[in-house]
Amino acid sequence: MIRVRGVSRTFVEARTSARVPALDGFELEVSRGEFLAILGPSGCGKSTLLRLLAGFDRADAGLVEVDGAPVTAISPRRLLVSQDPALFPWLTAAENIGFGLRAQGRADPARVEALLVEFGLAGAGGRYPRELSGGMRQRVALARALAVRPDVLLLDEPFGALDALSRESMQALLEATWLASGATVVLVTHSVDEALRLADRVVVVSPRPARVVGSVVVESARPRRAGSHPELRERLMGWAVP
Amino acid sequence: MRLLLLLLALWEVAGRVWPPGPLVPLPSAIVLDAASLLASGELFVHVLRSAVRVALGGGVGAGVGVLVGVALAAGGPGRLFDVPVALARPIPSLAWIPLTLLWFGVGEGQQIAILALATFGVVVAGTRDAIGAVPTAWLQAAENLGASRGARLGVRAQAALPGVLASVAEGFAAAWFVLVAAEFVSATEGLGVLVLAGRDLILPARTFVGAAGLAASAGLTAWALRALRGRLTRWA
Repeated sequence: MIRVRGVSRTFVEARTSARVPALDGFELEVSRGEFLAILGPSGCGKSTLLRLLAGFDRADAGLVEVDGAPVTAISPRRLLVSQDPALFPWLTAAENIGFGLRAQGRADPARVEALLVEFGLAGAGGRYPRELSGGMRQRVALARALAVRPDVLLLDEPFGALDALSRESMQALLEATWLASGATVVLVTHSVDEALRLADRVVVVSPRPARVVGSVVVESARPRRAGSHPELRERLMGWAVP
Repeated sequence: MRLLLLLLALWEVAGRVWPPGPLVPLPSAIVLDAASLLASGELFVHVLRSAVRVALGGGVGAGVGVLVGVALAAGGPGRLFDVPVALARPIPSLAWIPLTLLWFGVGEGQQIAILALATFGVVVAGTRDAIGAVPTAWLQAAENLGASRGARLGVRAQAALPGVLASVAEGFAAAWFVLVAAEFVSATEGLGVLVLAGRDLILPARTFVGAAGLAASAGLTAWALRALRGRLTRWA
């Protein structure tokens, strides 16, 4: 379980030296195995929250806990995937996917091969990132994260830069792999439709400093159709656009 | 290339219509001088001596430059090099000729030291900057995937490799750039000696042959290093 209690994080703007609070007393709980989507305006502190959960950054105050243990460092148990896939350009797609396994001394070519097939990358395993499309690069990034079987997958607008068709197929792929893995997923997105299609629960956060202004549980069966739940959509939009 | 040939042709024709005197050679005279130096094997000896000096001086300068650049980028005790390198950076390597003469005496060692200093200055800064420019996102991704400190150093090294190799190529270009001045001091063979012979022997065509040899040798070095870089960083 993820528990965020009274978390504050303030940044100092380089140009003006002004203190900018990204999070101020933020509260959130995510159950083990839950798929949570966070909706909010740009620059509201959503990414800061994910970086705190991943251990990339430290809170100024408050508690960030995963399974009862405070988050104090980066760990492969909590994998962060961003809009920039940050693939290693000197490694092929297959080598990128296998990087985490190799780094942990658990090289597993069969698993890498299976992930390549599962993520629609069969035949592209020998290509370098610059030889892949944006959608394929994002598939590699997601496969690389899932290869190490994390307990928590933190997704920071991972499909934000993709075209509509790639986005659609990535959403289906994410849903299928999440259902199979049982990992806890926290997805930050700008898309209400994406949140409603994928998440068990959607929370809406306010402009900076972020605080939760509303939350809905999405109970319908999977796989869900795009554009379903018009009533939930309306509620979410009501919170998102005051 | 066509433009160059056209200019040479114009120079030749103009020189024949309005003879410029013995101090300005025509392209045909330069070609004839080059041919005679080639036939006697003398040109090969000059090119080889210069190439060996550049290889040794450039190699030492690049090797030490990469090591010091890595130390600078690593921080910690490596920062001790920061001030001396920053202070020495704007000083042209030729300014060290008197000191290298005192330390190494008149001879091969002194010439190689000047070339090494020219290469070092470029490579140390290029290596430090290439390592410093490695995106944090790659290092964080590696750590997030469970990479040890050693594996993360490997990521940093791979990511910096194109920049480091580019600075090594620039360093060797700098070595060729200062070669003539280094050879002016005491060399008896080398492309710098050919360039100087134009004045000493009143053979201006020879200066052009030496200059053309320098340009060709520097160009060949740049091409070889570019090919090596392309081979080592096919992914870039």
